[in-house]
Amino acid sequence: MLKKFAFITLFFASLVLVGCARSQEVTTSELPDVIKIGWVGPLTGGLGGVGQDAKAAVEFYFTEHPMIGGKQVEVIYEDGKCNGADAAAATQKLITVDGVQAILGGACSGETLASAPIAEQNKVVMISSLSSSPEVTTAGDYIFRNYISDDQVAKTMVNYMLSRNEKIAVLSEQTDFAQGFTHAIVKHMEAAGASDKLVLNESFGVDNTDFRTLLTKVKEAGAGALVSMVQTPVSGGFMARQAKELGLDIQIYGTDTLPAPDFFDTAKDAAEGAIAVLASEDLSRGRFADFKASIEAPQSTYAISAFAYDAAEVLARAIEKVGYNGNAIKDYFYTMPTFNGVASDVKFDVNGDNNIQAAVKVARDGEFVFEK
Amino acid sequence: MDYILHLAITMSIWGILTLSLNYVAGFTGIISLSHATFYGIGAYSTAILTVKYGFSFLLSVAIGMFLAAVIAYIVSIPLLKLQEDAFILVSFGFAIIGYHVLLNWQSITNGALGIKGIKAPVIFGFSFSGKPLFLCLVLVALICTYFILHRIVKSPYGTIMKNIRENSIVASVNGHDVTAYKRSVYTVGALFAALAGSLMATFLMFIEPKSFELMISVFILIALILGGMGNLKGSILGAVFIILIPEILRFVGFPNTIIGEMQQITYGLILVLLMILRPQGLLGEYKI
Repeated sequence: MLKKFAFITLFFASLVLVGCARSQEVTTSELPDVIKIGWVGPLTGGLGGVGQDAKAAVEFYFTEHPMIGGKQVEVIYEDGKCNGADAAAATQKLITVDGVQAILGGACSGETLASAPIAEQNKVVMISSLSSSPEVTTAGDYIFRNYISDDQVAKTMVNYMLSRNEKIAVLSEQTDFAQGFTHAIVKHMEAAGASDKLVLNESFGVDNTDFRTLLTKVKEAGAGALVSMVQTPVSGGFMARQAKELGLDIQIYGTDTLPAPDFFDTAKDAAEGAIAVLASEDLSRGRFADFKASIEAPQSTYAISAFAYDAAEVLARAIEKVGYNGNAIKDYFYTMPTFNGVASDVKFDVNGDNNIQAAVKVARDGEFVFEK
Repeated sequence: MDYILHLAITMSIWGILTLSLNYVAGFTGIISLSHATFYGIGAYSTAILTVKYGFSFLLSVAIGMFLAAVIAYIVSIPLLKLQEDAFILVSFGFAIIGYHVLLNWQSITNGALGIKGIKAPVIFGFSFSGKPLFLCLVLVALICTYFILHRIVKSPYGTIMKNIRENSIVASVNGHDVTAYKRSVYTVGALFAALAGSLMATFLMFIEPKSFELMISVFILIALILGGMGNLKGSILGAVFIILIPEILRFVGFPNTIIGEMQQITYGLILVLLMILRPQGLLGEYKI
């Protein structure tokens, strides 16, 4: 018993001593022989396709630009599985084992928010091209994103719908993303003093494909606009098609979960005219057309790829400018001039957010195009 | 070193979680798929009470454990009237309800956005903010959990638990109130699951409903079966395996193009192989 007690005491004491040891910080701005950059995002699971698109865009960038300042770049990809615990372990591994000073990711907001304390503690920069939770804004000094916040998209959507003076119904899938977005819509309708225009707000089960009962309620509520807050384009497609079958004369709205071939395949001609308010590529940008022509067609949307590509390029330029040091990159990000990216301009504010506007797109002939 | 400490902390917390399910499923035969809900109640209690209301860590943990125990006791009243398959299905339903409460009770849980900024535990003015110190804390919690459950299962009460597991009708004929025993076991199991949740919340400093969905209950059950039901040491071993295998696979060096898929496929294959080679689990004493 005494031996066991002594062993446990020694074990704990050694851990305390390890904890007291200062971690070695990279202080040089000189580039290492191999610049190891981390990447965290979902490579498997429901959002694996989105993660794969983002990963492919990063790979594409570093295939085009394999060197930074004459040094070879190695990107280490880790599956964050779209959950906090796995992403935190991946981030810790990238920082401790691989010694990265910068991480591209996470993709899901939970990945970014769970990894943020570890990145902050180790003074490692994270730049997310996909996390859309408003909480990412205040996740820490070392946390940046070039994507748009859900809160901003919801605000644009609400203002757009209210400008058309429509009664609004929301049907939302019972997933964290859809529910979070729905809450943002409700919040902005209240803020606009238009709560009375929200005539129906109902949720439905994950992967539901039969919306006839709910759509009948939408019809009875007299809504002129239906927010189809789905997790997948297939569900959105079924909702649009069944609304048409029931004879609903209603404008369908959605966000970046709608624009995909599956939506058009499922909705058929009912897809025509559906509106998506979302973070989107800016077609007026000269670089986007070249990018679209060069990269393999993504599983989700070109916007996902373009934002990931921009994140990789912004990081590469920062490393070239100030060296491979998390602290220096962070300082540079806050002061850097506006970067002309593929998807958007990138200019980080004091919270590390890139304040871009949500776009409004309309479904026309099998694709979502910018509203004229 | 921080990575090893990170994994050691995660394994220890999962050790508590698996021990608590072993107590319920391995020793008493109540195969529950709702354990992640109690894990979530502990995590959310600590997160909400410390972040929003400034409670101390210990008080928030105590409240979380108490709340989980009360909810488990109330839920067990209808749940434990059911047997085997029906119970598993209803516990499955309870896990879904729990997840949706966390997701939709926006004013309390912050809904899908989760709760961030959860502070490291401070106990009597001493902060466990560094990973080595945090590991000490979770190891103490793990050891305490192990010894408490060990004492219970080795006691006459534990013998009755095992009797109920083997044949509840015989236990009933012997004069034991089977339902009352099961109810108390389910409640104590939930209590320790909540402890694990509180520790995980302060470790990750961020929680979201997704961390406590049905699949987490399934993974806890896998860890338990892998380690071996009805053996407390097996629970810790199961937790070590379930956390360690996917992390080891990060170092295997699969091609970048299929890295995620290959890791998951290999993980699945390892679990299948382990179950074929050791169907009773690594240290199992009881098989479903």
